[in-house]
Amino acid sequence: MIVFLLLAPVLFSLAASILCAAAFPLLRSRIGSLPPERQRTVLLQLAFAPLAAGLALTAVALIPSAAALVRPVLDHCILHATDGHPHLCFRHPVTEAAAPSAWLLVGAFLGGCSVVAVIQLARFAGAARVLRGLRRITSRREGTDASVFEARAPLAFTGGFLAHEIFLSTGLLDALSRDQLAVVLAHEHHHARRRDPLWRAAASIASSMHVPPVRQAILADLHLACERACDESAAKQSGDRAFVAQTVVHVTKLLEAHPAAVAGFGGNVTARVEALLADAPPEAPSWRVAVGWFASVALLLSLSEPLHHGIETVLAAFVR
Amino acid sequence: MELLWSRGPSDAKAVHRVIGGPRSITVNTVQSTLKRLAKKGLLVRTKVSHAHVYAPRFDRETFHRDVLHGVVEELMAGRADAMVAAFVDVTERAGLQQLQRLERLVAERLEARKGRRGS
Repeated sequence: MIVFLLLAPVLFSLAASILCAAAFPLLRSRIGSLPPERQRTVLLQLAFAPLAAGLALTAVALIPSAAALVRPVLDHCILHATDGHPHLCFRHPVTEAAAPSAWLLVGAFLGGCSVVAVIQLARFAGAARVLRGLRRITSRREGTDASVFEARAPLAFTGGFLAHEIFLSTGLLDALSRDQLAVVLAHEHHHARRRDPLWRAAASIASSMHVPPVRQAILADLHLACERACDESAAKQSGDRAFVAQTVVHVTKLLEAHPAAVAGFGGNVTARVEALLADAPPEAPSWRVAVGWFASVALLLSLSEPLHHGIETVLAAFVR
Repeated sequence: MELLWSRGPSDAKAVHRVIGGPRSITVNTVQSTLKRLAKKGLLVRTKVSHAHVYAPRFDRETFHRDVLHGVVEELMAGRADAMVAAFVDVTERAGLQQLQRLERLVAERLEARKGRRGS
């Protein structure tokens, strides 16, 4: 039974992953037209989609089995006892032996995802070590509401997973005017409020079930959406979109001119500045999200019977 | 390290007398911590009579400067990227020409706004 219970979410996740890969080119342009804050939310949901689909669809497909366990009158196994497929049933556990392909698929899928997750966890451990070292050498500077460290490199960032902290280098503080510093701090405060480092880290692990190019595109778009959402917040606070754009360009120039700058590959600045020079994005009504979620959950629950029988039929292909 | 910088060379018992009580740690814990710091090259250990005396290898300023340098180097190499959200990423490279184009766009926008205010 255990291999079939593992295989069901793997098959659902694979199906969701393939569906996302097929729909992503179209979805990407639709998501790109949303306000950045909404983009961030949708991309986070998309990053979690295969994992969430695997778990949620399996849970929903098991509802008829759970119902039969609570109320034996609802037991339907007897009606299709001779179908020849494994029953995902708690009252009548699977008696058929799983084919080697079942173990192979579960092993390959979970193994692949685990490798990506372990690589990510190693990156987090490295980053946590750097931040621990940084915390030892920072001090609070009045009026900045941030931890300041001595460095000529012009750096400003929000770090941490659960407790988010804003870090500024003295090199950046010396190079910015008071108004520019206010823009940087407003941007970073928005990162801290939204716990962006934590969500992006979670997305990088959860998205390991996506097809690799789709995963990379989702994470890159999520990164840009987070930055744009923070730019919009800073623009709202300063009341001057062009000035925020100017500050982004100014800090990028400082960073690129710094001798310790490494060869990079990021290209978000152009998109951020062009978005800031365009009109402010409209606020999307939040009721649409609530209605969308409600409709999805209702639809999912109403599909418990077809999902139950559907997955049992597919699992028949993995019986020895 | 702070204690050894302020008090000077000390053995494990002397260190324990100052920090052992408040932190509820034993002399053995202090001893093994000092040993580890010596192994890492941060402390120098010398035998005086029956006790090992520990002294910092570097003064406070040198130590902080080296630590700072190391941390900033790692930040600039993007090794904290997995856990940070930066105003501008250290790996961000727009290129000089692109930045000049963006600067021109921003300047045009600011000029146009000034013009509108003027008229």
